[in-house]
Amino acid sequence: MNAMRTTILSILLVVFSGCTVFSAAESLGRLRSGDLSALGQTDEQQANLRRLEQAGKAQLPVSPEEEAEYGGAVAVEIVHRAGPIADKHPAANYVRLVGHALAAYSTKPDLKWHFALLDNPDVLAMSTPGGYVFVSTGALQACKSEAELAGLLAHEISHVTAGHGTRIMQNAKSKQALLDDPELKQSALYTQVFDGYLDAYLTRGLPQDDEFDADLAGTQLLVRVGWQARGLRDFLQTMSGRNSAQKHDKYFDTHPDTAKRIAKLDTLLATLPATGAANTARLQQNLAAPPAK
Amino acid sequence: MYINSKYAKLRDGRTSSSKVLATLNYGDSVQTLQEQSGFVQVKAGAQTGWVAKAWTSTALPTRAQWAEQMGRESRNATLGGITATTGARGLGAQGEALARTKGDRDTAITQVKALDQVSVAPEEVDAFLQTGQLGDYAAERSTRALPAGRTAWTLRGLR
Repeated sequence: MNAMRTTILSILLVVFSGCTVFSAAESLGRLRSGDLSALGQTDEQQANLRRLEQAGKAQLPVSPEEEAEYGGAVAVEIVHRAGPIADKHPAANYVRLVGHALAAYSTKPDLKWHFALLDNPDVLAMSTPGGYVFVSTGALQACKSEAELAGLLAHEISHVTAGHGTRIMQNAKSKQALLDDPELKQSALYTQVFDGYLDAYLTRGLPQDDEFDADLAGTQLLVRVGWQARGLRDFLQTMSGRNSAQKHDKYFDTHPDTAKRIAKLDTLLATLPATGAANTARLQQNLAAPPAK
Repeated sequence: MYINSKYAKLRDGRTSSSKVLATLNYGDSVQTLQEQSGFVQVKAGAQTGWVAKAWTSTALPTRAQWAEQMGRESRNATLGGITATTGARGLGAQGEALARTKGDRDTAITQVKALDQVSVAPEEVDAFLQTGQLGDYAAERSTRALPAGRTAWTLRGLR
């Protein structure tokens, strides 16, 4: 458990540079300002940290166990805040099948993927390290075709396969290895760190480039399975129209400017096959089916 | 046209020593412009360049071929320092304990644990692909005629 807590704290060190989430202990305030020297590191520790930063990348691996445990904890928080899981929804198994069809052609087909609908009228789609992927009933209702639903899920799957969330853990783990401040390891700041990380992850979202990359990789995944390549692009177009009509969807809160996303996707789409399945009728059939017993 | 090698590079010329413009992803679709001297000029997203023809294919991999290749890559794993993630996982004791530091999370924990128990049979996924004309059942999928004993995705340079 100490190792897990240490990692969580480490995540915050990277994710929250300059963030104003905490009114915490003085040492955390110093971390926020980037003044690591104020933590009382030894000369050797400071030298190691500089070498690591000069190398430009973190090297300590994240084990599958850590990825799954942390991903599971994040999944609990997502369900708590945005759920419950709509396991009786008529389209619950349908969403799972779309997800698993995509996962089979992802770069991690052997991962234990979990796909679930959240009973939430907001347009939400989230994923965690370790393979939990959530989409809200609000997002499902906003899809005009199965290809759009697949595009939404493909984007989230691409975050997982690219390790975007896991990279944050890895970077933090590496930096934490060079820090040896006993106050950080022992205080109740750990729970605040986890809280703050989740707030940032669910409120601020991932770096913009990660979102663009997930759009492009997700669209390639659509092509590989055989859905219309424009699925995600069309969904974004729909959302853009809704948002401009004064209906604010929370989906926009954690993602880059939609017009930029669509523009990048249009560039890619010009090079992709125009064929592919929309399967609109199948989407509509599953939305109209009676609830599961 | 599809990229059928993880070693494929988009280059600014028709030699293997030409400047690399981008690394192309295995399985990605690219637009073919012309072919010369064993290289194919392609548009890959916003970029245009040349890729060795041997690293391209007109046929997408079957689901089994894709799984085999991904399994091979997983066994050879490290991906930028992040270890490959395989195997059956879910919310374990440590993750649950961390989640409980946030307060009463009994309901959400129960739901996530229930989610961990849900599985989808490969046959059900296959039937879903078939009825949706997806995957190996996609109408526009094509296959090349290959020498006996070879598959489109048994490739040079892949370990």
